[in-house]
Amino acid sequence: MPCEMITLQLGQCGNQIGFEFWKRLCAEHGINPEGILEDFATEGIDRKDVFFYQADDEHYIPRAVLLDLEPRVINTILNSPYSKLYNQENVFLSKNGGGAGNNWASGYSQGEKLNEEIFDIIDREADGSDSLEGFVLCHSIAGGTGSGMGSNILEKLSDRFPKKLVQTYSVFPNLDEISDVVVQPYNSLLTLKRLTESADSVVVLDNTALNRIAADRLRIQNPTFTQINSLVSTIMSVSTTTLRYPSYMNNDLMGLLAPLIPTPRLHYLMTGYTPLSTDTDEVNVRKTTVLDVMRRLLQPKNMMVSTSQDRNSQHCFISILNIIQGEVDPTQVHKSLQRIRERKLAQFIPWGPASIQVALSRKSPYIQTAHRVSGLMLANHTNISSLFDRALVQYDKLRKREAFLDQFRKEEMFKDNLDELDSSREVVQDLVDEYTAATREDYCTWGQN
Amino acid sequence: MLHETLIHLWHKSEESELSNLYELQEFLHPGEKELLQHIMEIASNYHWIVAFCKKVQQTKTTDFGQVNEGSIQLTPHGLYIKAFGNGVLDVLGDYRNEIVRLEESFLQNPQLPLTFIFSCLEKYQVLFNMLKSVIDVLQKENLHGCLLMGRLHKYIYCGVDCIVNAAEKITHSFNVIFYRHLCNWIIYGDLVDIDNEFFICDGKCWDEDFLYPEQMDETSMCSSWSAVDRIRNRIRRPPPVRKFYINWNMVPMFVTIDTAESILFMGRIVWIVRNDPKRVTDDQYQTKYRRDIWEGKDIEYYKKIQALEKQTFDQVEFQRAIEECRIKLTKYLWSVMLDEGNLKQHLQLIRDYYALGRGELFHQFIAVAENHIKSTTLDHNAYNLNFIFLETARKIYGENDKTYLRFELSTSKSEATSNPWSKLQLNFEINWPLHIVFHPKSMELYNKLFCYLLRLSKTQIHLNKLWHSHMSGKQNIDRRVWTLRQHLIFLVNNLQYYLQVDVIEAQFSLLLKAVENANEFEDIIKVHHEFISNLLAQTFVLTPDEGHTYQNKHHLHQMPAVQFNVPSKVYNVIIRLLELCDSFCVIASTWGIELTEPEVMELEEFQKRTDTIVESLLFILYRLHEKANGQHLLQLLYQLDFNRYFSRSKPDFNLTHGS
Repeated sequence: MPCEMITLQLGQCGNQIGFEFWKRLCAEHGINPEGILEDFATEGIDRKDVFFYQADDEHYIPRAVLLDLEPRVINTILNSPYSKLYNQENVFLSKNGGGAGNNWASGYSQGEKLNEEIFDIIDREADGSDSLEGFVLCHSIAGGTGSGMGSNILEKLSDRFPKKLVQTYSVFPNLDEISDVVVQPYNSLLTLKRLTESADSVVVLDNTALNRIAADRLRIQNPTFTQINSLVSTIMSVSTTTLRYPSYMNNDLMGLLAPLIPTPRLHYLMTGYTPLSTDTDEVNVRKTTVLDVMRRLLQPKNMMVSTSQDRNSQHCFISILNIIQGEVDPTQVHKSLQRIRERKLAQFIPWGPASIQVALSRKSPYIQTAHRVSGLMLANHTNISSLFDRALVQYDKLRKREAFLDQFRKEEMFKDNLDELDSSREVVQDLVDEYTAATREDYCTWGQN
Repeated sequence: MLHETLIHLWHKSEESELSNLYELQEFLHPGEKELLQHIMEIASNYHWIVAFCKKVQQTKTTDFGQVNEGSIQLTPHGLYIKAFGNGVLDVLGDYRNEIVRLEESFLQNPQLPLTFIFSCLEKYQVLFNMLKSVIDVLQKENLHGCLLMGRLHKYIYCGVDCIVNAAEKITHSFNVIFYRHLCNWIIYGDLVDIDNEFFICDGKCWDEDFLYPEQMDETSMCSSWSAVDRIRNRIRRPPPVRKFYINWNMVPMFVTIDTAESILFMGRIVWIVRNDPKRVTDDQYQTKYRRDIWEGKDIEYYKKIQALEKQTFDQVEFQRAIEECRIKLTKYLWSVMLDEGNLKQHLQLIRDYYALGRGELFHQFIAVAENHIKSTTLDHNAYNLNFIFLETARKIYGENDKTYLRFELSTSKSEATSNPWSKLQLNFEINWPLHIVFHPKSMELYNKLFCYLLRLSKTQIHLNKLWHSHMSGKQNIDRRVWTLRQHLIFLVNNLQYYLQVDVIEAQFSLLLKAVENANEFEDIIKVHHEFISNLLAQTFVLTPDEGHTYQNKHHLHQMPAVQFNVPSKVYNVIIRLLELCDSFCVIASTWGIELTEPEVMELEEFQKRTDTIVESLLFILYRLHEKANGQHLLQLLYQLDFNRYFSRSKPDFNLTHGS
């Protein structure tokens, strides 16, 4: 069926958020952990076919490919009640099981070696779908497998499926805590190059912001992975609701992304979600109206990306899509937007027309929420470049000291020189420059001689 | 002599006999003679009236229109005139009793003077004159049916006792007929009125307001229909509705316009309910679950109305009785529409299909059908398109949702465009009795909206495809190309957003709320009428009809308040924009990374055209918004100018005010 998506989950982080995502999709579509449609869900007109397909015995099977170089997370999944959900043929574990040692280069070269086996799975999955629209890749950019092997797969995907869209949900490392992955800045930078050049859209999931939101908004002092991942799965599921439910707009990924992403490289999307609550947190239910929700979505503290707040900067929105769910009075939507426009609560680009678009989306009838209205914002904001700026600074610090480069030199790619690092730095720097240029009126002529 | 006089007063006699009377009494005093003449005049008036009554009583309904011997006038005929005759004869009973009493007095006292007779009969002179003039008028004006009642009605208030009494008596005689007609109409939707005397008339044909174009053709063009055409229509059209109308000339003056409309409306409802197609097709159903609009209380209501015949007309009581029946009927129909007809589901389906609420279905449909529609001829198209439509829907919704089976595509033959997309029509299988609400004219309007939204959607798909082809290479294509592309995507997207959220979604939510608050059938018609009028006007498909007045509330069929076939000015600009987008997509997709000289010129031409269209769009929106009900124009304007990109470059638009 139209706009079918294949998800690829890579590495520890990718598989964890992927797992949470599928749990969430199952719950929303009324599919039990074994892939069987619940009795209460047989009447639904939701579009399970976008992410699932039906086996001969009517079981729903996710179009998911699980990839990792070490078995730990995948084994957890396979020992969970959801073990029967996945197509076992789509679970790929590297035979040596040693992982990528948090090294991008190792992940990349292992990916290169395992290429054929991996693409056998992906090709089979792609052939099995009626009209595939694209791939969704879940990974982190800091580790080894998700970043390195992910980069490799990204490059290969755009070669092999030039007509398919590739969207990634990329987890950015938490900068507030000292990471045990010392080469994280190298990994991030190398991955960012691929995300810039090979992906069509990147939804940035910034661990720094996610942890801060968990602490500040949800008042969880030391948020667990599961708690963070449930935030992530919320974002992933809501951002796909217009694809998964009957909807008058944004019915396919292309329709969702085209208005958001004007130029090929400025395709990094920020997200925001409100109201946030945890399972245990039922006291904190506020009155929610469309205006409340849309106004809160524009507040930086609700953004899932920790951008630096530079008062003098001219950073601005390139585009905004708000997906609003719940009991919305449609006659109020325009009034709310009008309020936002009058008070100039959102700063937009000066070089073209731009607006906040609102998609009123259906919500799963099988999941009860305490809030009347909830909203997700997908935004293309030039300030995302501060994230890349930070990555550059960290990279430069490390690079200046020539620190930890031995690990990289072991691999084929970096044996002779470190050109790849330099070229990646250049790409990311270019990206930062382009985002900065996009804040100015003359952006339309930027980069032209 | 007196005795003979009395005989003459009683019996109509020949002219010669009458002169005999004078001759025999040649010794009459001149004064007495005059008196006698007066009395004879009364007698002849009486005889004339009686003769008239007898004549109308004997007229059979079948010989109406026949020329009566000796007179060229049409004989008045019908039940009302007979009732009139009966009433008059009844009134004349007093006179006859008077004669009998005179005869008795005469026998007891043969010396009674002629003046005694005269004084006894004088009072009838007034009455007879009145009756005569009434008869005269009704003969001259050929009054019949309900009109007679009206004519007589005014005498009830004339103040002269004997006339009032007579008028009341005759009225009562009319009432028997009138209320029989009224009861049969209101309670059973029956019109047994061979002489067309009731003010409600049977058109003896189907009401064209509820006929689809091809149903109108059906009778005339039956033979030319090919077999293919018949198979093509999978969706059955709703059953036709019989035409009934008010003959305003016949409405008695004591029935107000509103009440008359109400009465027409009620009988039509009953007719529709009694002609439920389910009942006709299934005999079992008929006997078992025969639909009863009165829910077993038809006799009770019948009697309630019939009771009114006992009195002369009382406006208040009459209206109260009618209103009581109307409430019963309208509530019944309202509940049938909501429960059995599933009104809310219909509205949702209209939103989902006609208003493209199910974007995913039509999105995919367009993608698949676009190749087909080009290559084949129109006649084949309908068949192919339906196949694609059903296949697509089946794939998307599987077994869970079969609502798409209630829709069917066809190509309209009336639209004079060559573009097959603008001829596409959606036929909807409407549950009985919702076809009253969703009548052919409103479905025509929904189809206009459908074509327009589909058109927009198609352009959007083209633009998105162009975006994808620009994206997938990740190449740095000419910035002017993507700037224009993104500009167009922005316009089309925000336009679609405005249509879908600001207009359709908002109007639809208002409609649903209004339906929840409705408790009468008329309310449903009204809120739907408002919905469809606003929908078409605010989406710019048609120009609103400012002069439109909502007809009487109790009207089965209401015309939406838009000017059919007059697209709004905004609509024309939008269509130009969409055409521009389409040709840009075609041409830009052939361009490489570097533009050649002629390509740059083409691009500049597109840029120029876009600027012109955007300018005229903003201008029209801005100029028109000050008109009444122009708020929605401002809404679109603000959405397009959200970041003040346009108003910055055009300082004469002061868009910050006036919200």
